[in-house]
Amino acid sequence: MSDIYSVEADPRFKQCNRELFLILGLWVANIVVVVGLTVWLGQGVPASELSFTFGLPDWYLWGAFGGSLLFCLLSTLVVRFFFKDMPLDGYPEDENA
Amino acid sequence: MNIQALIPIVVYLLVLLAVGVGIYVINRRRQSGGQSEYFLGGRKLGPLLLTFTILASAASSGTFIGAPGVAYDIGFSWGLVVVTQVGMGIYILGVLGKRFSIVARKIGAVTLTDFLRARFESHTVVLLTTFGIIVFLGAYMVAQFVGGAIIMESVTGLKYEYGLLLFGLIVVVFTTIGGFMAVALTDALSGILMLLGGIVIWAAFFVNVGSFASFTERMVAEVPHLVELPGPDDINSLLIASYFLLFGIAAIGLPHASVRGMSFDTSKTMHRSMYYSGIIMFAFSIFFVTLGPFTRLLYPDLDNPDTALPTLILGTMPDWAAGVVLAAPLAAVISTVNSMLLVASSAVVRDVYREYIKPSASPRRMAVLSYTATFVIGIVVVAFSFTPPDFLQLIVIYAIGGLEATFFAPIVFGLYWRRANAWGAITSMVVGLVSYVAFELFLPFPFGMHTIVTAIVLSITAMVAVSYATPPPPVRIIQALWGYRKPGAADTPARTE
Repeated sequence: MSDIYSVEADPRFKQCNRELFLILGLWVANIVVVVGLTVWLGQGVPASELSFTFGLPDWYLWGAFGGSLLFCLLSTLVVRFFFKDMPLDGYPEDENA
Repeated sequence: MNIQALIPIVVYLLVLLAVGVGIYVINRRRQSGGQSEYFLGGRKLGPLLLTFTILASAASSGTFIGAPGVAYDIGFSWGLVVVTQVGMGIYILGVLGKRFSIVARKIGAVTLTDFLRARFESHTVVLLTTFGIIVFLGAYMVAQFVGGAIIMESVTGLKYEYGLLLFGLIVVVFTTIGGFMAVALTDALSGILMLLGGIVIWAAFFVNVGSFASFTERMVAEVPHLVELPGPDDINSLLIASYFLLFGIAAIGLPHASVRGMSFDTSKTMHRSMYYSGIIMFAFSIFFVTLGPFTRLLYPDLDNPDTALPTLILGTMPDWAAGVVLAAPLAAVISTVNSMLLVASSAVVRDVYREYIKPSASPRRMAVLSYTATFVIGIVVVAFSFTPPDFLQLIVIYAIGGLEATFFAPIVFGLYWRRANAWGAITSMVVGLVSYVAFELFLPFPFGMHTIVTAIVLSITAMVAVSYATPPPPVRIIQALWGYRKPGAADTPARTE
């Protein structure tokens, strides 16, 4: 008798699952980078003691600009090196049948 | 009335209309007017169209008008909240992407509801989905149209009602006749305008007002809270982190965004779109909100912070340039509403009419009905927009959170977890929605985080607990969605352990 766990999964799903966890990792990295930089540079610092670059508070420049751009770079690298191309057809074997 | 500012906007609207007509003519000639074509563009989007249609659909007038308004009030700390949406496109494509595309092709799904129907085989799930889509997207579309008409009025002097009629009708018409492909193409045009607007507004600021650094001293002395963190609204690290859920990964639960997760042609397209979407969303997000705090020093006494950006633009730019820049928030409004309009229309036509009223409807009849539904819903939304509600950003955040809390768990768990069943889906949707609304009303920001965190955690818990407590889904469903061979085509699909 077959149950739901004995259905043999589409072999492409293994890679899909891996990519899901990579994305969750990227999401955590995004939070850590942006929140980390801003807290480190600006949390609780009174305005008179903040340092500025180009007229923007450093925590904003490095956290919002820097952190976000760093995340963009990181996600590009992850997709480039860990994501795999695959056909998207529903049931690939139909074509040969 | 300011004709010079009106001209760029009218030109833009006419181009949109032309795109709609063009797509309609092409579809006519090719005789391709099927449901997959109308609601999904025939699954053939390339990387640029895919990127722009996801991001422009997600970035609304909140990003361009609401956000700088809040930053005018509380300072740069709100800019930090806005950049939590930078990864949105990457998350939507990365989590749904291939898996959603493959499964959708297996079961012939054209909409989110098609997927949920096939995965859970439950009328309750389908009705909840349809209800959520119509109520929330309807409210959100009204808020967007209202925002758009206010912008038109503040910049061009065109009366609110006329502005609303002008661009409301054009949006409804080109979406109705052009379908998904027209929406994707106009999203790309709108996206380019949104990028251009951001760059022009910074350039004009530096040329006509001065460098940011020239404001630092006054800002620190006169309104120090603008540059401080956590700032007057106590934007602490836990709260920022929770916005990464609301504006980031939970956007998977937005029906008008997630349907785009199965609209592309190949996995190569998806990867390239992921390269582009971070940087483009960053550009959409950062330019306008960063000017909010500076506007406070230039115009300290505005009654309604939502007028901060329009005031700045009109005060510091030649009229025609103001028209170009102000076309950016309008483009954001239009690119969001057109996507939602199609999703709402598909909910009525495919999920209510074909499912419950006339399952045997012919393709020709379905096509006629799709046009009619899109048009009628659009007109109703325009009609509702004549009496505007008050604070823009709040409505926007409310609808977005509600949709996410409802759909995040059933989509993600339905896609990746075999054991998820109909009872789990129903409970998670109800718990997500009800807890979101209840907490927002009676106990906002529980545990120092945005309400969305509590609602999604409760919804996922309900999904897992209830699914385990009730029988597993039929093997037939898992066979259809997980299996490698077409069900019924082969006789030995099951593996014996």
